[in-house]
Amino acid sequence: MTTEAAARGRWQVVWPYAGALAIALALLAALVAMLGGDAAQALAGLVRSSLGSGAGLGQTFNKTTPLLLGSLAVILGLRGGVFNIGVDGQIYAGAVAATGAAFLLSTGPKGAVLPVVLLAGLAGGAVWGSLPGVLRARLGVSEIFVTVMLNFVAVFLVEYLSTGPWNDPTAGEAITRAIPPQATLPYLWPRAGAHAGILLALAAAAGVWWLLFRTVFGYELRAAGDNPSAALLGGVPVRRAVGLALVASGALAGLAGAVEVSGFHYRLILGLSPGYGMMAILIAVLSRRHPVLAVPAAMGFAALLVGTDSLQRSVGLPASAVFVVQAVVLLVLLATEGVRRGAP
Amino acid sequence: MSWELFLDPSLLRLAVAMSVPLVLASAGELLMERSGLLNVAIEGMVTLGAAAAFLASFAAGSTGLGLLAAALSGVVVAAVFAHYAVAWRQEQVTVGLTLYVLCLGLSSLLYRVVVGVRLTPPRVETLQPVVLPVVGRLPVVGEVLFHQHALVYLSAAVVAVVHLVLFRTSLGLRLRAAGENPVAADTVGVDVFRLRRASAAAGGALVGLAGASLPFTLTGTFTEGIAGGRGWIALMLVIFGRWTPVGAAAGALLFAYVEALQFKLAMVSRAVPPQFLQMLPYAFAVTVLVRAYRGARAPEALGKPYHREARA
Amino acid sequence: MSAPLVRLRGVYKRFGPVVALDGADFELAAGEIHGLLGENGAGKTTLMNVLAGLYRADAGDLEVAGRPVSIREPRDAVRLGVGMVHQHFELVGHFTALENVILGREGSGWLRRDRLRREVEALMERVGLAVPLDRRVRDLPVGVQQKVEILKALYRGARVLILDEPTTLLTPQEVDALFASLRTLVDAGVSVVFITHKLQEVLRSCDRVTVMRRGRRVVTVDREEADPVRLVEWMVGTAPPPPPAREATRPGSPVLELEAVRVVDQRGVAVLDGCSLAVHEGELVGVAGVSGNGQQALAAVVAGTARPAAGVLRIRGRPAAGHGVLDRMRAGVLSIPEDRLRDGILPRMSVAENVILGRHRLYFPGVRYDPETSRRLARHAIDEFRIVCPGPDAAAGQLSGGNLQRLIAARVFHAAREREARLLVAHNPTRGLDVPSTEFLHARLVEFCGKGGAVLLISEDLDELLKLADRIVVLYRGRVVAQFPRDQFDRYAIGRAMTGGVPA
Repeated sequence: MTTEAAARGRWQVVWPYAGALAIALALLAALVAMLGGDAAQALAGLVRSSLGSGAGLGQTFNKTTPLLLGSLAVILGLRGGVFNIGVDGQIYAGAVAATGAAFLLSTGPKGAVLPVVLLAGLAGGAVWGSLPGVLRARLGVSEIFVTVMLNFVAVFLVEYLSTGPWNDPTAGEAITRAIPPQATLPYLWPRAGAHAGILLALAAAAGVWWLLFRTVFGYELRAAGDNPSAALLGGVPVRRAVGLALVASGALAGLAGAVEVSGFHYRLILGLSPGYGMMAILIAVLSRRHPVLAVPAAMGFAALLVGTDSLQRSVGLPASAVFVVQAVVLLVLLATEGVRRGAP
Repeated sequence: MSWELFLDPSLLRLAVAMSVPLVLASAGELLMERSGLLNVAIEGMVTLGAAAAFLASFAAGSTGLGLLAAALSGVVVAAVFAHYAVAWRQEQVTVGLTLYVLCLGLSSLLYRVVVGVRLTPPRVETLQPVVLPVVGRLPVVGEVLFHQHALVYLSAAVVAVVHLVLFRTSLGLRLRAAGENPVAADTVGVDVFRLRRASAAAGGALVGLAGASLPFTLTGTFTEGIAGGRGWIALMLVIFGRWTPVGAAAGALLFAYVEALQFKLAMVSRAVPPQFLQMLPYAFAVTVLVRAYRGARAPEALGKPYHREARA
Repeated sequence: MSAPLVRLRGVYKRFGPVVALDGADFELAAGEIHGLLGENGAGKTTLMNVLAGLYRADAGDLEVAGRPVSIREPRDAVRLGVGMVHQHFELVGHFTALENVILGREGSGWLRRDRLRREVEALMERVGLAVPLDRRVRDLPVGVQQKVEILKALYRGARVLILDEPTTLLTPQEVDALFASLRTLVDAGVSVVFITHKLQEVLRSCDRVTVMRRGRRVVTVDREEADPVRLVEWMVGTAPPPPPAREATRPGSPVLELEAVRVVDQRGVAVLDGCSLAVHEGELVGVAGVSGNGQQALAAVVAGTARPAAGVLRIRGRPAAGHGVLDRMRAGVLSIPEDRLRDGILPRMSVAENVILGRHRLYFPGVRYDPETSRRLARHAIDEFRIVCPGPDAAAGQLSGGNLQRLIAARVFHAAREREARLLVAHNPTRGLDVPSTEFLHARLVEFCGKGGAVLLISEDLDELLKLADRIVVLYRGRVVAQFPRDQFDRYAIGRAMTGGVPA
């Protein structure tokens, strides 16, 4: 391929994303205008509050962490040909495990407690991912339904714990006691309020890339996701690989839950995941199932979240608007892809 | 707590009433799946249908208008899905999940825009039970089956109509052919694309109506989580019912019974924390799916986009 | 001469960079059986697909009954009375034969099954083709399925019936029956186009022959003028190559032995039922049979994707250690999959990643995977097997059928070398391939035997087996019912065995 053709190819890939971003901003502007606000001012405020100030950037990093970890979880599953729709439930499962571990080890030294708490998050999410994983591996049962049902179960579990045995009566109805200070994640950028979770997420992205493209397991997983019968004939243990992928996927999401508890809220609360699981799916598709591309995509979504948070306060834009914007962005991209493909 | 609790007529009556959204949603979904479309946006469509029904009724004061709005919302979303799946041949699960998120967001957004922020959530009129003339006077059966609101009778009719259409009409034969082997259907002149779009529209209307039944029956309000996973459960019921409306409806009744039971148990029993009782239906659904999965044969072309010239 | 019933002129069709039809012409006269002859890839099926409305020509004229027509989709063709029966049937497996025949023509509203059944029964009488209308099509034997397909076309009022390679999956006896039916059809007013690459069929049954090559017509001749040598010259453009010499070999010790092996499917039905056979070093054993008699199960149990429910499977004299694909590979048994696209290729992954599939654990025994090693191996494979592709990183799904088979062959034969494989099992490996690729694969298989390897070739193409095998065994209802050494090859005796008749 000539460099000219290569450059054209690259440009062709980039411009749908740029266009989608423009549509997102335009849609937001329209929504703001519909609510009686000043669209231009609102958009400027959005950018300023998410990327233009230290505090905003810090919040963006904070929100990037669960989004990135969640989308990596979905990506792992997608590469194996499975849809993990249970990221929310796995986040909660990890959060529960992390909180439990934090309470159990409340008298330990800092160096030891924090890693255990994070590992507990990994384990909690892995356990939550293992039920669909086992069902898929042993019985071939579709994971779509099972992961979703477990979301509901996890939410009820958190509701029980945060209103019952772990509840902090002084803090509120569905909020647990605070975790001990040794279990908290340190700040990375104290003035901006950004905690070290972003480092974990970035490391996870590198780890998932390495796992997928530089290990035999990753090769076999991708083969299983591309064509399970060909992979089987090639000696790949398809069912086992896919089941393991679901467990690892759950673990990543569980880590996100642990980070949210340990780095952001310092408690287990019912609204810990405001739909991160669903956004993670969108991010995974947007980044074309590539762990490295998920980083800027997750960051973009995080900026959008932080920005719309501020719009919520200034213009009264409801939180649900961000879902609409994100979904429309992906729909537009899927449409451009489809149009380019031509008629059936 | 005696075992008579499990067969209490008022419990059974409640179960029948609670089965409506599941029966309608699963009937709609199976229509789509029989033609080859796997729609995982169903939970979002149910939520959007509920929102549309509530808001139309709230704004215009008419339940009938609410039902119409709900059905229309389902048709529109399903039509969008069908276009992505049929014309653009995108991966159906991906599009479905995206539309699911969109519908969730739209529901809350529309609610916020129309209702605004209030101290107490507004209510709309709920449907009242209609006692059917002759059969309503039968002992036990009459109370359980024929002292229900209009949507219950409608869902029974829907099950019968969908069954007849699918298995006794030529339209149904062609629709099923499109879902089993679209190539074979295409070569004999069956318009696979149009059939898929049509099944999406009809199925979408039913799913929207399923959503409408939620605010119009129990509480008369709308909340974000009003669907409570019923859309997903309907997906499972289609498999359980082996892609037949009667089978899915049977599963819906079974599931609604468990739901109603959990409701009653929560009121009666203090020993178990309510959240664990609330988990029951979802755990039950998983076990049902695992049992139902074996031997379940989906339409052969389910979820696969049809590409005519890919036959080379 | 009266105007032809169908006339195609100057038809062009490309698929991406590949030109399938390059100004092709064709005429069909009323009441004739017209053979369309050419090797795989010549464009015969593509041309008829244009006539049947499955492809839209990029350029060219179509005329039916003297009037110019535009055929843009199958419905247009059906309306004009054109019906096509494809090589791979398009039947809805879970529907009954009756439902398949009437699909698309059932009227509207309620399904009047009784009236429709009477109509179909009348049609069956008129054209002399009978099928059990209430059985599910997937349970019917292939020859009967083909009759359902023909009835489908006729039920729609087809005056032009196109048959695409109709004899590929039939026994010799069923082929005779088919030719007889075609004569009856012609008497009933149908004109037939018979697409084939087999000379003998054309010479037996057709009134006229059109030979195609490289997307264009080469010649059209009457049957009297057609002789085998000239036909082949027209088909391939040069004098035909001499058939490869297959010397008698002295088989060595057994490499694979099956003793009363039983394999059951999901429903518990025995698809392989007491199957016994043996393959020795240096031997190419051909397994003949009508599709659906256990070939898939046999391939699966040898390749390691199915476990035997009963019986013994021995590799090199010792019972097989395990029954998974990896176990077979370690024991020296490799397989060439039946359906290239479905079972052999990872379409979205690169050529390099495809070449190394199955051997990846050999090269990467630990945790790490190195793409550069794969690329290096792929470059070797591309060179040695002459795979046409942009490079080792190109997505495999973009390769043409012939190149895909070369890729799979590269993978299998290289793996055979590395693992010192003793046995290759292949199921219909050359189905749908053009002549050069077929010859290439055949040559490699023979070469493998020459070096002391063993080959189990399961093929529904009897000609292929007759050409290559040292011994042919016949699979019928899941067991081996007959054996024929090379010096006793008799097409009709084999055919009888294939349908359950014991050879004399």
